[in-house]
Amino acid sequence: MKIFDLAKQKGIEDLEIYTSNSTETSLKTFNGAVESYQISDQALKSVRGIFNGKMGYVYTEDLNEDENYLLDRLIDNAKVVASPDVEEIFAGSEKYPEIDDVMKDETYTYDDMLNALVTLDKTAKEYSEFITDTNGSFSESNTKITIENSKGLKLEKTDRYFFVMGSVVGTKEDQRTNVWEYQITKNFSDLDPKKIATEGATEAVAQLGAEPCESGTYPIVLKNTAVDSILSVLKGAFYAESVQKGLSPLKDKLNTKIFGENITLVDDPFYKEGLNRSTFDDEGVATEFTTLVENGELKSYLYNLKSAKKDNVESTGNGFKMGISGKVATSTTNLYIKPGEHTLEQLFEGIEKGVYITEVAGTHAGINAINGDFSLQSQGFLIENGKLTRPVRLITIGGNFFDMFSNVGKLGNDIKSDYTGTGAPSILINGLAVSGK
Amino acid sequence: MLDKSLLKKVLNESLSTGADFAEIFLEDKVKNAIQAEGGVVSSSSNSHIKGAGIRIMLDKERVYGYTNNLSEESLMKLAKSLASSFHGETSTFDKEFEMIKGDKNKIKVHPKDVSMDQKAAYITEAHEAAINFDECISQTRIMLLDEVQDVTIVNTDGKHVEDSRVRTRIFITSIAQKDGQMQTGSEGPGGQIGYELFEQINLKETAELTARIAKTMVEAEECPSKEMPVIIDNGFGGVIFHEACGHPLEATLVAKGLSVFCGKVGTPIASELVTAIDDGTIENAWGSGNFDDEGNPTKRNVLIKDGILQQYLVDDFNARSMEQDSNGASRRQSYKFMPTSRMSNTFIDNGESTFDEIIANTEYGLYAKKLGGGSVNPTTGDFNFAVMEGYIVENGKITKPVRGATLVGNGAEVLHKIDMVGDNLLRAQGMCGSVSGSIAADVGQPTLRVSSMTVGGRKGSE
Repeated sequence: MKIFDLAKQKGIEDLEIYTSNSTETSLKTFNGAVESYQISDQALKSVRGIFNGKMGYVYTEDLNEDENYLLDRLIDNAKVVASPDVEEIFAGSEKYPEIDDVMKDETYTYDDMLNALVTLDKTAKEYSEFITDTNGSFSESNTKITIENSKGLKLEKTDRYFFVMGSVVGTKEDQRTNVWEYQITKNFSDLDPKKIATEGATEAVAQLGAEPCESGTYPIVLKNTAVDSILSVLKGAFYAESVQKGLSPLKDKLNTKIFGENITLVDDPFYKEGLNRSTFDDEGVATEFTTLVENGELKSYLYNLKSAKKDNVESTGNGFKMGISGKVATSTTNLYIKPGEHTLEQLFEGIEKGVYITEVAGTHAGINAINGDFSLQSQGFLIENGKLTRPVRLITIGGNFFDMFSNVGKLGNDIKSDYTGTGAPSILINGLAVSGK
Repeated sequence: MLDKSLLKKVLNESLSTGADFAEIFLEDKVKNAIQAEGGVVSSSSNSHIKGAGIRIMLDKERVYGYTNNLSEESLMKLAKSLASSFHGETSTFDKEFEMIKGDKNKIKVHPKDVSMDQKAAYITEAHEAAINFDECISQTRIMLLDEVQDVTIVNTDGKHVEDSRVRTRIFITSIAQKDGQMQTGSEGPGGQIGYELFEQINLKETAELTARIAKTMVEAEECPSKEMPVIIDNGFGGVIFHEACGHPLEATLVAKGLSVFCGKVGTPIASELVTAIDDGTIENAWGSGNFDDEGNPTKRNVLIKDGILQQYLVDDFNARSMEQDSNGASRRQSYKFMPTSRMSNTFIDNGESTFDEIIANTEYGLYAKKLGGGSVNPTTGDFNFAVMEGYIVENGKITKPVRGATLVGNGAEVLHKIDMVGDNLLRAQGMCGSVSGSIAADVGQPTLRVSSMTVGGRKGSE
């Protein structure tokens, strides 16, 4: 490419061009009627390069951007960097893994999209007279990523996903409940709007009449998706980058117990059910399966090129950008806790008085990402003598992430992943502080 | 940005299937971000965001499309593809555009005139102040951001608005470490302003404040959990009103009948001590604009007066199904978002109590001096907020710092429970996320007291 020559002339040692081409279609409904329809088409370009040993970043959406302007900004940005960290533009991994293509060749029409959302609305309302409103949302997104650099690396990957979301509103007298359920799939035919609607409606109706329970310390069963929400905020503790910056409590903890025996945590870019299946990261490094915690013992951190160089190890292929215009940092692919053997009912068994938490809110503010302390707005159901008895809302549960995973009584068999690709089963924790009435 | 005749052509293509309204939103934005850890710049980036969004409406339906390919072919294709959603008679647009330009927020030191070295110097100054505050301060994270967003909005009413929004902000976080504990404190002053921001704020004091919060919290004990009176301090404390009451007053929810405040105009929805305002016209304020993102002039909108609901925040699209016209409250993050009703600078107005009176009149409670983030479900009004800096009040005196507290409640209920409002209104800056993206917004209030709220902590009930 011509830009590589221009960069050389300007004294830029190595240069990388990262592009993302994407199209998206989305449809939103309110009570089954079309509210909005949206389409988009984007060709985005992120350029980074090394000038005097420092990395500078520029990003543009202007298809006619002057290359001189772009490279001059890159140099300005590189010049102001003072950190002694060694960064590099990557020449390429020896080989790249192959993953089975799970995307089927499918076609569908506007009416198919709309029908999915109409079904969602109908199913939820048929479930109960207390379901008064639904918001439905559908989208398809197709993205092609390319990386090309002055060291001769040239990579390309495509991805696609379908997303259906239902926000179900329950109303009884003055009280309103609102439950969101969603599904993300690689194929249109895998979407199941009926299931989303039924799950949402069941919870929205069951939550009617909820009120805070008494404050106290209770055994807690955390639903899989609530575990996902907490785990996805704290996964940064496993990034070597955080450890090196003193922002993780896992410093010097390799090969020591950080969780209970029953916890194994992995990052799996090849996970069949995973949302973030990938063969290379945003630095062009081949991805790999990494066991982070095995039977409670910390086995590895997650690395990008920069943090790996600092620790004198190889990158684990977890160098991902924070948004296309952002710098390369660290991120997980499909991170999940391996499920256990218990059904949800078995987790409730033997609990005399406890709380089943189905949803936690405000995780970004209510969790201290540096030390794992949390205090979170929650809702769910009271468990009495092993059975769910009444709904509770506007309570908080408080504890510490690392303490909590050192004291998991039972592990469910019901693994489920969230929209960030973080997955976990439901778990029983012996005691957490609950604040309510 | 683009030729007028092309814009007209695209608008006409948009109307080709019977739509009653079409709009083009053009954006050209340059954004710079410098990030430092421990006072050392670790990365710096420059982003150029440029593209167009086309919106077409027919009665209460709308379609939206966007692209960063601004060629005639691409825009015409987008307009045609959007128009295919409707099936009516062709209408045409032949009005003359009358261009109006915004000029209320004057910029003295434009970001493009500030050198990288000068920017790095601000970061160093903030870092030095924080790190030298106390030996327990182990680390700082500082981000300096500036952006210049130029927008052109044209529509089939003949509107042609051009506006330039310049924003500058510094975000400082101090981290304190002591006895295996780690706590943070942060501040993020900014405005619709250039680098004269640094003449208006005291950078050293701001950085020291973040260090003081981190130090106080690392030495604090865990907050007890129970229901108690809560005194929420001025400034960022206004985030509770923003989340729990501001969002449900947006037409996005009201037009669908999903807000708890539907049909309540003219009735009491809050304690009579509460007057709340959304004001997009405050000169150089973070959430201000000359025009909103539909090209309507921003306004000062009194939302609640002495507890009585006055009006909602309304955009042109939602006005079609409401009894209220747009009041200049339509916003979007970028051309990648369809605009909708949003807040700008939203605050509870001054009352008559002094800060000292509020503390002295509280037998036992939590003084939430600085709030962190939180979230709300606008349909139910249930919310949660983290308390970044908190203290216990006993017998009319602030006694000891506590950490890890979360406030939970319901917006509609909390508004009625405000029983004291101070006289020290202060605004603070935040980023507000909702359907039309992440936008700059000020929150604000004087110190006020809520008679009872659920406080969640890690200590358990005492």
